[in-house]
Amino acid sequence: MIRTLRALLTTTTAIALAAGLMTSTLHAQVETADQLVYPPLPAFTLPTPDTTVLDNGMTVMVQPDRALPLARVILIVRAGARWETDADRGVAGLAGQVMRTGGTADLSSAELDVLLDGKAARLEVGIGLNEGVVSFESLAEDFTALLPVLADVVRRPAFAPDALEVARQQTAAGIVRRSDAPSSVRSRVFRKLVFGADSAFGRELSLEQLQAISRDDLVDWHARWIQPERIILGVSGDVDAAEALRAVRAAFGDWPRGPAFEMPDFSWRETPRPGLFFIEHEDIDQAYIRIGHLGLRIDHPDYYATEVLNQLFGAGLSSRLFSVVRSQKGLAYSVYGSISANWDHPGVASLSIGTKPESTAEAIRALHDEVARLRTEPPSAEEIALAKSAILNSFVFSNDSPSDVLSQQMTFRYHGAPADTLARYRAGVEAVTAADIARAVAHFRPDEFSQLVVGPPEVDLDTLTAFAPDGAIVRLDADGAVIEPASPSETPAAADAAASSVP
Amino acid sequence: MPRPAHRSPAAPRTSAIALAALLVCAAIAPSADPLRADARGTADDVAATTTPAVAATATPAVPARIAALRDNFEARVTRHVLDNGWTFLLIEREGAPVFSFATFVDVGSAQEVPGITGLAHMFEHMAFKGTPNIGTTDYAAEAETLEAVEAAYLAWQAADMAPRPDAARVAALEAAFRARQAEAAAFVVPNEFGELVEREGGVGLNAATSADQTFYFYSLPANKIELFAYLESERFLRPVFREFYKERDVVQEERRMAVGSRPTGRLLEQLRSAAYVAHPYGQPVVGHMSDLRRFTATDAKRFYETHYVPGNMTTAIAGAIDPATLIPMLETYFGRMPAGPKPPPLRTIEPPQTAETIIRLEAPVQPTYTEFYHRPSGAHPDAVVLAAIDDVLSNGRTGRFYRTLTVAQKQVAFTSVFPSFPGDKYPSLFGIIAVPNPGVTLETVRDGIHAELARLRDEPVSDDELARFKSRATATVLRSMQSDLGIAFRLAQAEMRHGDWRQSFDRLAAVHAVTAEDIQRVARATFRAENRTVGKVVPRAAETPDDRASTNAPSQGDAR
Repeated sequence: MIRTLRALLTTTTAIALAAGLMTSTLHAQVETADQLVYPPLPAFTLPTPDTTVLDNGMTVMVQPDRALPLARVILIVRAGARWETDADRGVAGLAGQVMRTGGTADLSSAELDVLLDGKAARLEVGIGLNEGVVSFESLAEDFTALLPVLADVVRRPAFAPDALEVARQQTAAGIVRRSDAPSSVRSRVFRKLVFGADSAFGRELSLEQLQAISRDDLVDWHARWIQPERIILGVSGDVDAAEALRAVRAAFGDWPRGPAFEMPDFSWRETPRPGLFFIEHEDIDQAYIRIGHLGLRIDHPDYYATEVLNQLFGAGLSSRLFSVVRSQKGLAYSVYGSISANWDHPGVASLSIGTKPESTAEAIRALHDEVARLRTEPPSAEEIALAKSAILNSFVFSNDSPSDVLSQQMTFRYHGAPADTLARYRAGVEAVTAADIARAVAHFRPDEFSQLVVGPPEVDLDTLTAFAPDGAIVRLDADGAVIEPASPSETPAAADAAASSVP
Repeated sequence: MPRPAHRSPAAPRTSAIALAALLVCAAIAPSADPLRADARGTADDVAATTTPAVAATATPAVPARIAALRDNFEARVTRHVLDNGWTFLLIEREGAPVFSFATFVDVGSAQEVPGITGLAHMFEHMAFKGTPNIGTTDYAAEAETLEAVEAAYLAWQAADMAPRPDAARVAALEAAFRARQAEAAAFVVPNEFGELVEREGGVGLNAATSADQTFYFYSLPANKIELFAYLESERFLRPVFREFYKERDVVQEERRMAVGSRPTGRLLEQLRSAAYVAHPYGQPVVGHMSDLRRFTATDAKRFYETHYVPGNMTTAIAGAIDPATLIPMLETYFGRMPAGPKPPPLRTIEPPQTAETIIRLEAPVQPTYTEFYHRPSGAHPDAVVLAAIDDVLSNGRTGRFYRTLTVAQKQVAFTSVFPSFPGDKYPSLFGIIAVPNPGVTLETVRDGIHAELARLRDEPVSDDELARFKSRATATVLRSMQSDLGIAFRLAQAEMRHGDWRQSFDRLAAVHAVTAEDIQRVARATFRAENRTVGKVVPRAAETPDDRASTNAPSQGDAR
């Protein structure tokens, strides 16, 4: 297996070198880029990882890469804050931190740190919103010895009370600081406006909820969620595939399946929340603006068209937003926009810009103008061709290393996507037509935009009323609570009424 | 695109990465400093950025693992210097048919003087604006209008800055300038340079400027190697300063974002200006706003002509390349650049600090404590000892700050060390940044840090701590060699700064020679009150920190 991989690498390199030879036959330099003639790019594919499902339901994928004497493990577990309920709010994230810092059945916190740091190894646990990730890296020679330690952290964390207190303090420090930076206020409150303040994607942990979390909560959460059948574990680096699988089996094979349980729902709001929302933030030199609404799921038929649209509209140096709003108008350093997609819940269709306070209205107008222009001056055949070739020509970078291929295959498997998802993506992008782009453009619905401005007192609100329905600007505090409701009926609670949920 | 992103969850030092964004200004977007982020990002990378030189006297062996890696590179690195002085490193790597490059230019904001601060970074932005062949519909006609734009701008500025400006005349000259600007804009094909890279599948196109250096980079499919040679020679051979004054507006916005909208940005700008009374390290990389409003395309051209000489430039190309065919191509394209004299070295040396300085910034945010000590440059033999001090204090969960201030005393949520701020080419600052837990005063944080620094002065570090530093430094070098771009960065920087790409590996010899006595000696020389500049961000509201923590407590139902 490894010999095959090495042979493959050597062969393809030889082809690449031959390609180089062809190029250099042009001795004279070109004067313009269109005089350049490119040889074809040699075909290059890396094998997909060997996949084994252990008897306890844990999936193991192994992808050797002998370039450097390092070994890596990534473990994804189907657990996350979005499945938290009122009863266990904040527990997932804290449990992840303390799994790492609270020691194991055999090692105290300090002993674990000394062992790992002494070998220059890294081990981190993070339970995020949508999934949990454990990552590990060590010198290849330490892999077999440290894998059981990794397994103990995952399977038998001690959740030392002192480590919980440290994690609680650090989390509290994060909570009291989350409104310090205007960029953080903008992204937090925009999520609340778009997904709903109480939704899985908008809600936030309070200090009171944090204080109420006990060690028993972490232990219970771990017993329920961290189970072998919920885990995909990937090994890459300088390892022998068969030996690595043996080591994983030895460390995890005797772990019994957990009890089955019904996954809690997670939900978000489908109803848009149009309006112009202003949050005053002192002592900043820019207004931070974001406008938009919910985006798509990856399985939407227009997904590939939105990818091409994103490229030509708001991503990259040659996109419309960058060229017009930044380069030609000089309104911003940071301006971008896209219709984003997620695997199992909607992404966000949004545009963002940071500009000096006095050009706030002009910047919002510029964003709206560019969205409108997608309809009045639809992307030309040339723009679409450029965007497609940017995506397709850079495709070689999407799986150019064994560890990239491994983490892709883990992700596809986690989301139940086919192993050839990348090939489908490529074919999907290639097939996009001007009519598809027109349908993608329709996924921007300006009438439904939540328009959020986080700016200093110098922002002249009178210049923004044109963007507010009925001229009524809604002022929010740094956590998104309404300060001066424009009209009593227009509260988030009312808008929250229509909600979606999936298990 | 369904590109998975299973990055490592945050380690305790992520706040250092966030703050690191303050050190460089990027052309496109402020992604993390690639020199730091390249090895997947967390703790060790920050320390590794220091790249201390090997002590000339002590030359113990490099660890066997690293010696083997260096030998492996010896076989795949080709160093080629063009007649005009431009240095190339060609690094052949097996794998996918792709390559990455990094061009390092030995100029940063330290080469600026009052009046033109921010110009190194401004030129970096202009290097994306094209050439006579890229970015224009008709260069001959455009060139005339660009001359008219500049003449109109200089006339307007002269009138505006006259001792007694004539308001009507100033307004008329400004209107004339705006008119010329609009005429010139009509010829522009916006961002054609970036479009050429993106169309052919280039990824990661960006550039960044720091106090020490300016660097340009991206990755391309291997069959586009000639596009690289064409674009990267063309952009420095004959840059056209089109859209200069619009781009200056963009850079002003960059300053408003990076400095003006972040209390830590404001604090560090004040702090470096206080810590440096003579050396240009005291100036902000992005420049002062008054300079960003006044410097001209003429100034930028002069700066470019002085510093963008081939002898000041080093390019490393790593990936699926073939030196035998690439070198003639480099000769053809990059050989076009005329040789020029290297700019004279910087004369100014920062005098010793004689009084402790305290910067206190009030802002409507939670408190932060920082202190910075003068230290020698990265080329000094003690630089590697300071890397050891950084490691012992702050690396991972065995670092003393984490063990004592965070775990044992529970007073500090996060601590970071900036071992060499704002650069390491010249004598710089060793900085400590601490984020207190809610309700903990900055005085308590300061006392905790000072107790740890006193321990370093008073007691030798343990053998275990020293061993951890050395094994982590070794692993960091390995990790930095995982990607084409990472390798290009490391080798180009080592070549430019130390004249030999092998220093990326050989510096570990000095790392392994560091002793506990060295650490004590350097700690005593460095951590003195009169060598210190303290920076505090203090909440503006009058409440005590405890009150603030509770009044700021957001709750779940806040938005209802």
